Amino acid sequence: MVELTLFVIFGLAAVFGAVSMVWARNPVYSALGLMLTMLSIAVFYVSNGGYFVAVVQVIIYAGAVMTLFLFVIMLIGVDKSEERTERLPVQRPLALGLLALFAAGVLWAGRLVWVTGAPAGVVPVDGSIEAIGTELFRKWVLPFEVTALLLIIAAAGAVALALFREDGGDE
Amino acid sequence: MNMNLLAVAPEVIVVVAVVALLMIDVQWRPGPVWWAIAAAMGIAGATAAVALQWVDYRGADAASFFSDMIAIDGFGAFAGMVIFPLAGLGLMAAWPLIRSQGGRGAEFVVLVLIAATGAHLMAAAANLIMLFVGLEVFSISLYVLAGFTRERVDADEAALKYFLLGAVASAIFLYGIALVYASTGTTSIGGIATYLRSTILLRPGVLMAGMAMLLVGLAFKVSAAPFHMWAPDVYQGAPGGVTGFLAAGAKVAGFAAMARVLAVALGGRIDDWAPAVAVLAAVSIVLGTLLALVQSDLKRMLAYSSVAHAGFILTALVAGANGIPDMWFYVATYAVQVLAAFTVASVVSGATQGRAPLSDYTGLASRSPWLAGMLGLLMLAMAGIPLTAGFVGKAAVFRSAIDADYLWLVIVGVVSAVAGLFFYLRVIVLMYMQAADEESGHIPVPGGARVVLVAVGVLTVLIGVVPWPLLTWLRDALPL
Amino acid sequence: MSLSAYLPIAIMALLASGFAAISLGLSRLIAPHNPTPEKLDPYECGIVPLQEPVQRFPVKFYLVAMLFVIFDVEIVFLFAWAVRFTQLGWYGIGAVGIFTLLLIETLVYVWKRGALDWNVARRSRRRPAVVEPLTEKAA
Repeated sequence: MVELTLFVIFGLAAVFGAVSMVWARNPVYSALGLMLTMLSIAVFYVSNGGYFVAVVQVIIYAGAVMTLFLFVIMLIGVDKSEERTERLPVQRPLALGLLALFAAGVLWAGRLVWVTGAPAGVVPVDGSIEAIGTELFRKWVLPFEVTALLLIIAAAGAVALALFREDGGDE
Repeated sequence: MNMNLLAVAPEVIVVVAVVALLMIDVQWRPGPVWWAIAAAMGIAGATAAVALQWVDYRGADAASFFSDMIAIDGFGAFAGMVIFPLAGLGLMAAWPLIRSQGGRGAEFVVLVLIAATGAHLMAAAANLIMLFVGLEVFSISLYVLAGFTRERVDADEAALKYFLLGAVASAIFLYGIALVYASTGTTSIGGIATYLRSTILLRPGVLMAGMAMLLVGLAFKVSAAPFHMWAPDVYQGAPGGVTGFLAAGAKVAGFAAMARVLAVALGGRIDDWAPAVAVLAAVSIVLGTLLALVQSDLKRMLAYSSVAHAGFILTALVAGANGIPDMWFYVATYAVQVLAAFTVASVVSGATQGRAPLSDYTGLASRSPWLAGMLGLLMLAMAGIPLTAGFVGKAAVFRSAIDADYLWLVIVGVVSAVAGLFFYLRVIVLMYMQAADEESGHIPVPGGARVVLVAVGVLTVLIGVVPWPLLTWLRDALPL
Repeated sequence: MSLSAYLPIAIMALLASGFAAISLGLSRLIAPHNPTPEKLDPYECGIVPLQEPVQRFPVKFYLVAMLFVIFDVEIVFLFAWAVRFTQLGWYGIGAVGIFTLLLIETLVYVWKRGALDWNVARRSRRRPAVVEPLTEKAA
């Protein structure tokens, strides 16, 4: 019962956040809408026992990535929002149509595993932080180390693109 | 956990080279010579490591390590033997560009090295998660490289387009992994294959959706139509020096990943995905050829021709695992050709420039006979003229498709290849049969580009005349 | 269900949102509302604003945000390792050590490149080789 209540409340919040992110004219509101969605999803993770993923969701996505988004919005300039005049006569309805088609496809594909209350074929995974720690460092140690490479690229790419600039930026 | 240092030796060597390059560069600033030394050592070491993998683990000796995360097999080793030298050639071709970038040339070299590592990880991954991490390492490096020169707006546009569409493709691929995991309960490539072979899925809807998304995600990366929209703009906008590596690397890594995912993990469901791959191949071949016909920019034309080539390579994959050697033959020979062709474009039209209008190439034969000869050879090879590697590659992929009973696809391919002759030969006609503008003089060829062109030219002709050693060799380049 | 452990968080979330809603709502209800153009102007030390507030941040902020994300990710991984510190033993230290060394390398690199240097005058001196003006060597 508690879980259902949580699901309804935060499910609505997640959908509201996602829709307001797409709809908002001001990019800052978009970012806040996205943050609402991310936090709501974190609640789902907790209610499904994915504690570590929930923590990651809050720390990385709602925290760091949102900060990055806001910085980028500020870099581009919030004043840009009003200047937008787009002429996309076909694309919007087309996108909505494709979205509906896609949703129908996913629902159709998943009709076997539609919510029945019965556990799916997969053994439930222990989502506690301790279990993740063991799994991450025993089985998944190689992908884990490779993510360090991703972080090096992020730093080198950011330095190459943002630091070495003669114009602007450096006042 | 079974650790084997040889399994990750290429990656470790490249990372050590990268760390050394960066640390010494920020401390003492030894300049481009040091970058070249570090990159050369990293690439030579990594190539030696994959060669060792090839010697010890090809064919039946393949095995996977690190909890079934990475495989050492002929497939991954051969991919490494293509990718790392390709990165070396790419750096040589890009050297004028790197020199022109001042201090941040070090970052350029680092990104190329890490991209090569990511590409090799994609090819050697034995787990979809590992493959995805490799894919991201590879793709993100390429996004930055595509927008490396910040002086031109069209380069920024190219990089942004590449990044956005590439990120969407990665997301689709990741969704596909999730759906495949949902229906099979594992992300291990071998595990998925075993599960699918031993289990009959009564309602395989989720698996189908997952397979479709994996295919679409990778089709984006290899620029197969109809997911090719980004390729012309990106290849045209990216700085000339790096475009060759962008195009060649994406093909090698993308098709390696595609072959492993489709032919190995989903090999048991070949009847489900092979028709989709055949349609993708046919659409790519026809659309790429038709659109290449009307281009007036060499880089744009090469981009559309790379769409067509993606289609030809997909033609080999309809045969499943049996087509992998032929796929490799085509991918390897095409990758070096496209790298060299873009190198010529960067020499003639400028290493930092995006555009390479075909008018730059009118009468090239009288201004710079050597460059014109090389570009002509590459055009003939890409068109698939006999006695070049391109011809053998096309013959090989068509044979694969015929063996798999896809005669209609072969007919489409042959007709398009003949039509494609037109735009490849048009470049040659332009270079040899039209007079140059009087003000344009001789074009100096940088040393690195010279090495790349000679190496690729020799390889293309040599493999075209005696393809059998490579073809025999590739029978061992099979995945685990 | 272990969700009950999150009851305090739920209560706190309710309290926090309730506090925000009540204070904003009350001030909207109680406070007199008669705006004048002067009142709506941004407050700038009491003088009349001469220009629109600066809309764009310098691009170096992006770099800082990016670095923040990088090291935030590292912290999360370290967290997963820390809770299993004793069980993983030296093996875990080795695994985390490689990862952390690579990140320290990144930190040193970024630091030495001057990305963390906020003092503009010093940075221009310490900055690595200035980007040379582009010369088309090939063409």
